[in-house]
Amino acid sequence: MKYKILIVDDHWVVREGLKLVLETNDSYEVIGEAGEGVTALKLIEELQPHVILLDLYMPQMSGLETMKALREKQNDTPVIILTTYNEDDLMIKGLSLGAKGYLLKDTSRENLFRTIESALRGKRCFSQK
Amino acid sequence: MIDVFNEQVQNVDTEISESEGEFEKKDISKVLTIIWIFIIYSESVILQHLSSGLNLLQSVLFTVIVILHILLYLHAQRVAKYFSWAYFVVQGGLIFSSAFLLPDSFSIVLVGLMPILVGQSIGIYYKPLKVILVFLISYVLFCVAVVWHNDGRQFVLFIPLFFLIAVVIVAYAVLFLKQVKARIRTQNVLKELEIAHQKVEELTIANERQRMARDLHDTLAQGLAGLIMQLEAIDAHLTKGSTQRAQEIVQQSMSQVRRTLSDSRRAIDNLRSKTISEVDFAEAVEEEIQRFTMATSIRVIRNIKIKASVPRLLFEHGLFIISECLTNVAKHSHANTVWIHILDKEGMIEIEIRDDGKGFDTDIIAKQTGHYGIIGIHERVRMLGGKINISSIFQEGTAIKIEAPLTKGDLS
Repeated sequence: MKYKILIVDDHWVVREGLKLVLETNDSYEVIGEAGEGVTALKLIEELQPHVILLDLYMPQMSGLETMKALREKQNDTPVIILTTYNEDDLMIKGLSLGAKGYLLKDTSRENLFRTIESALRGKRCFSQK
Repeated sequence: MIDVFNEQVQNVDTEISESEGEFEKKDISKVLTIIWIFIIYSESVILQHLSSGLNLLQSVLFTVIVILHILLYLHAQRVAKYFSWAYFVVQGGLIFSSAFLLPDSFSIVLVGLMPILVGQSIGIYYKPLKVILVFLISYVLFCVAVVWHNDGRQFVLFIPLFFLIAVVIVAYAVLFLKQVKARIRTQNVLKELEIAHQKVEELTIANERQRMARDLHDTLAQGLAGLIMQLEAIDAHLTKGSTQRAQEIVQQSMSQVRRTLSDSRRAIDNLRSKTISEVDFAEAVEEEIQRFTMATSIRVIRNIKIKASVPRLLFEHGLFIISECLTNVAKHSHANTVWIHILDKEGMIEIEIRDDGKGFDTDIIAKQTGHYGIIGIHERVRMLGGKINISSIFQEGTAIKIEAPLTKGDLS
């Protein structure tokens, strides 16, 4: 069985990069992608992914706002925050909203896979940087 | 005489610093008043000399009193600031005593100098009661002097004359002071406008910095992040021995890196805006739209027809305004479609950005500093010498229309 992954990032280049990294692991399948929170929420409802890779800075609806909306809908799909900046306050906010991981976008694929696996087991895992 | 108004300027508003022009004006007014005092002095001495003669003691004492009067007058502001009543008492006393030194010229001295003192009281007090009090005391002193000299003819002639001169001076002083007050108010408004303008400039710079940060974030940071991921994927494929897929990704990465480099170059060029080569405005707008559509799911319908060359200033501000409007659409509008119309006709450029979003209250938003960058957009339109019209209807959308001349603001 392949785990379904949804990528949410406003930058096409990042979404493409993530898809390429994830295709190297047979356990995962990218089932959809979104450029902002509103579309992401629709896709989450429609596709019911096992894990969501979520960027924080996005237009229309940011990553944190998306997580809030998700929690309000009682949806506990594991979310891994994948961002460009290592900001403590964002990490704390993400954690308080139930994020299962906080990774920088330049993280290694091993680290990414490890974090996804932890998230699937319901555990938290954070970037070493 | 006019110096009293300058004193009033200082009394009314100490916040306004005196400009070079005001100093010049004050100096001229002082010189004129001193010339006037000197004329009165000369006339009094000549008349006294011609009438019943002038001895050395009289002449020396009169000269000393007039010099004291002038010196005190020159330092009127400083003295009156702490001892205003003492100033008028001493000056009044000097004028009154000098009139007694020259019995045949006392009327000239009193009529010539006392009204100046009354006028000065307006500048120092600017309170009707105090001015009337100074006027009455001067008038009483004048009457006493006339009665003392027992000159019936002069009494009839000079008492109304003194009254008339004093009234004219007071009326003139009041009118002039009103003008001075109006000028101070204007200066205050100008100062406030200048502060507001500075603030707008600061906000514009802050917006520029945000734009730079955003450009770097959108180009270099994301491009490199994407490239690292692609390299990770290539590495994974090579490890597994699937070289063909690795090669495909390498090709994809090369194309991606070129695009990132091109975007970064454009962002850096924007920072060095004065040295960049001529870039097509329509092309730059198109790139902005591309970025917008890649980042959002909002549809853009564009109609861009620009035949004339776009001046540098218009290029920069126009592009910024479009970018700011699109950012607002992405962040706040919840729109499905954006329409962008850019046309040039009869030496003017027309830019219209319209969306079918939720709209906003233009009265409230426009007044909120830092919200939606509306103030920054207004300021940029002003710098372009153009006009802006923002209309927004709740749940129907927003339209921002800008018109600016194509001729203004070529920096090169």
